[in-house]
Parts: sequence; structure tokens; C-alpha cells
Amino acid sequence: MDVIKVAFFVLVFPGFLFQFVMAAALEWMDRKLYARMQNRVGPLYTGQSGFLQPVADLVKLFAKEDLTPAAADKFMFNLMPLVALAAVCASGLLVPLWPIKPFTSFPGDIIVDAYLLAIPSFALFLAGWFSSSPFSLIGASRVLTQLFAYEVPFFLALLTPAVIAGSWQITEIMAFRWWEGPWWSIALRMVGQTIAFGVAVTCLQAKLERVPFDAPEAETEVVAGPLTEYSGKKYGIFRLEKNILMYTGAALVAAVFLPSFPIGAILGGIWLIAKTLVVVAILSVIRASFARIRIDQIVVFSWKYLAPLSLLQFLVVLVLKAQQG
Amino acid sequence: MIQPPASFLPVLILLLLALFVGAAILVLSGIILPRFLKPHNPREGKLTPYECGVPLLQDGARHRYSVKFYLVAMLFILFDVEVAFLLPWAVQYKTHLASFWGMLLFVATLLIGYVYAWGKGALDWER
Repeated sequence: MDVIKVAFFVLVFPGFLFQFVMAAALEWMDRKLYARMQNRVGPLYTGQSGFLQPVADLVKLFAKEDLTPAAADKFMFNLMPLVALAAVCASGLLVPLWPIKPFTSFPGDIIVDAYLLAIPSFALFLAGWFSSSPFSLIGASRVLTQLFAYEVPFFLALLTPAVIAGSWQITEIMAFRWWEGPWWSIALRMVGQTIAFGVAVTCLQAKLERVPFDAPEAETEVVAGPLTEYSGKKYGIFRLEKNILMYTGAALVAAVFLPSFPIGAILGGIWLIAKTLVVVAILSVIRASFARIRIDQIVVFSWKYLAPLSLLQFLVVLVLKAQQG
Repeated sequence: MIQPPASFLPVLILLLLALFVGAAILVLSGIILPRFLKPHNPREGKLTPYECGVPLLQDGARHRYSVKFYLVAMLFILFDVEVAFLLPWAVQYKTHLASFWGMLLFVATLLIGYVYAWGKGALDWER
């Protein structure tokens, strides 16, 4: 019974199949929104309003010739897409959509989730490094530089809801009754959460390597960055990984930052998905409204502005928490 | 609230299962698809590193190149460890309010280093 439950959990519902569907749906939504904001129509012909376009793209990639460059390290070159995919899938399982206690929820799962979300960047770096191509190498070094830039503000931002709720378990953070307490305390909580949410969404955009933080994959400069040598199904896996990362990252941010209410498991899950859609819509708006910034500008932006900002509001939240005694 | 390492076992299981699923997709599509759809005729030209179609300027990419922002990488490690220390403390420091000042001192020490690195230009693009 337990084995079947766990297999269903990992393979079907919050697991792989559901993540695949969510990734495809979110990519469609992102592309549609992005197109509308640029006065285009976006995907149109595959399925209703082009809804199946992301799946069709993936099928096409899987049917293409799969090349491994002669100079590349074969084993690592083939392994890295799988490592990235496995890390994002595991991180998605920790977001409490349908909690099986020992699997989705334990004290400290927010930090485990955050570190699982960091693994794809390392996998991408190693993929670029082992491709042994000049463009891949430059892209790979940019991936790491960008990781060093956004990771600290992201973690500091994730600390805020954890401190406010006094817990480092995602389900407990979501169950925290944020509307209780004196009005000034609620107001300060909201301000702190809003700043942290802004920082976290910005860092998530950098984690996804989308405009304006797409220097590692800037196609006009370094072809496709670390993915230059990838083709066919391995590129398809990386693409799928990016889309699932968009879902799991947005779900984590939505779960801990946006308000949740005690409305039961099923409604709570639907509410969490609705919040995830909101976060992805914000990411699309950011993508549509900015131009690419240089890698040194990314470093300066996140170390001189984002990190001090998140540290400052983190200290404010700490003092607030101490005041409540 | 000390957690035994066993409570992280599910995460490892999840990771391995997800790795297995990904490998299954890759292997299965490698077995099934080629018979119907997928071409497979690698040639020498296809297997060289991609350099936009021009003849290769160098053989392989294993050369020394200038890594910018290595100081930022060091800062990152410092601050990453700092946040990893902060998190378990921050979620339950209410029971030991006195530890707040100790932690503030720790953060202040790191901040001095941060300001020093900023002043030294570690965050700027070096030429």
C-alpha cells in the first residue's frame, strides 16, 4: 500500500506527470502573455489556442538527431540533463500540494528545497564545462557568476517568512495565522513580506535565466551559452527542466510569501496553484518589460542593492519578532 | 529540536526516483524513437564544437581564461554559510532573546568584511 502510495505520489500527482502538465501549461501561459504584451498572438494552431504547443515542441526535440560532440566528456555530458531534471522534480515534490507527511514535510524542508533549486545551475555549469566548446565555457562561467549574485538575496528573502512564522517547515509557514496580532505588527509583517517577495521574484527570474538576467544564455553573444552543444532529446530534457523549474520555483515563492488560508487540503491545493499562476504572470511581465543587462551589472545589482535590502528588512523582521516577545 | 539524519532520507529517495524517471525517458526514447523518426548519421563535421560555421580557431576549449568576479565567489561562500547559520537560529531565537546580540555581532562582522570588499572594488568588473 505504502509503496503504491509513494509511487503514485512521485510519478503521478504532485510528482512527475503533474509537474510535466504544469510545466507545459505554464510555458503556454508565459508565451501567450509575453506575446500579447508584444502585440503578437503567440502559439495558435496546436490544440485550443496553441495550448499543446509546448508539448509539440518537446516531441519535436525528442525526434531530432542526438549528437554528442567528439571533444566532450561523454558520461558527464549525458548525465547533467538528468541531474538537473531530478533536482527540480524532487524540489517540486516538497511543495505541499498533497502532503504525505514523511515525504513532503519535515522541519527544515524550506532550506532543502532552496538548495535543490540551486542544483540545476551547477548542473548547467558542468554541462557547459564538459561540452568543451568556447561558447559553452563562457556561458558556464556566466551561469556560476550569476548564481553567486542572486543566491544570497534569495536565501535572505526566504528567511523572512520563516522568521515571521517562527518555523522552517513550509506547511507550518503556510499554516501561520498572519492576520492575528496588533495592527502595527500585521502591517510591518506585510511590508516585510512584500519587500522579500519582490527580492525573491527577482532572484527567481535570475535563477531561470530569463530576460533581463539572461546573460548566460544570451543568443546574440554566446549562441546558447552552456547549452550550445546540446541537441535533440538532451536539449529537450534541459528545456523541460527549465519549465519545471519555473513551476517549482514559483510554487515555492507563492507558498511562503503569498497569503494562505485554512480552507482544507483540496481548496488549499487549488489556491496554491492559483498563486503560482500569479507569480508566473509577474515573471512574464518582468520578461516583457526589461532588456538584457550585462553580467557585471547583474552582479552589481544584486550585491549592492538586493542583498543589503534583504538583509535590512530581515533585521527589521527580527526586531519585530523580538518585540512580540 | 535536533533532527536525526534519517528524516532527510525521503529527499534522497525522491532525488533518486526523479533521476530514475529522467533516465528512463532518455533511454526509452533512445530505443523507441530511432526506428521510426530519428536520424542517426554523425559525421566528423557535426561532432566538432560549434563556432558559428567558421573553421575552428582552436582545438578544444581547455584553455586558461580569465575568471572575473572570483572575489564575488568567495563573498558568496561566506554569505551562504552565514545564511545557513542564520536560518535555524532565526526561526527559534525567541526562546533565547539574549542570543540576538551575539548574532547581531556576527552579522556586523560579516558586514564589515562586505563593506571592505565593496570599497576595494571586488564588485566591479576588473580589467
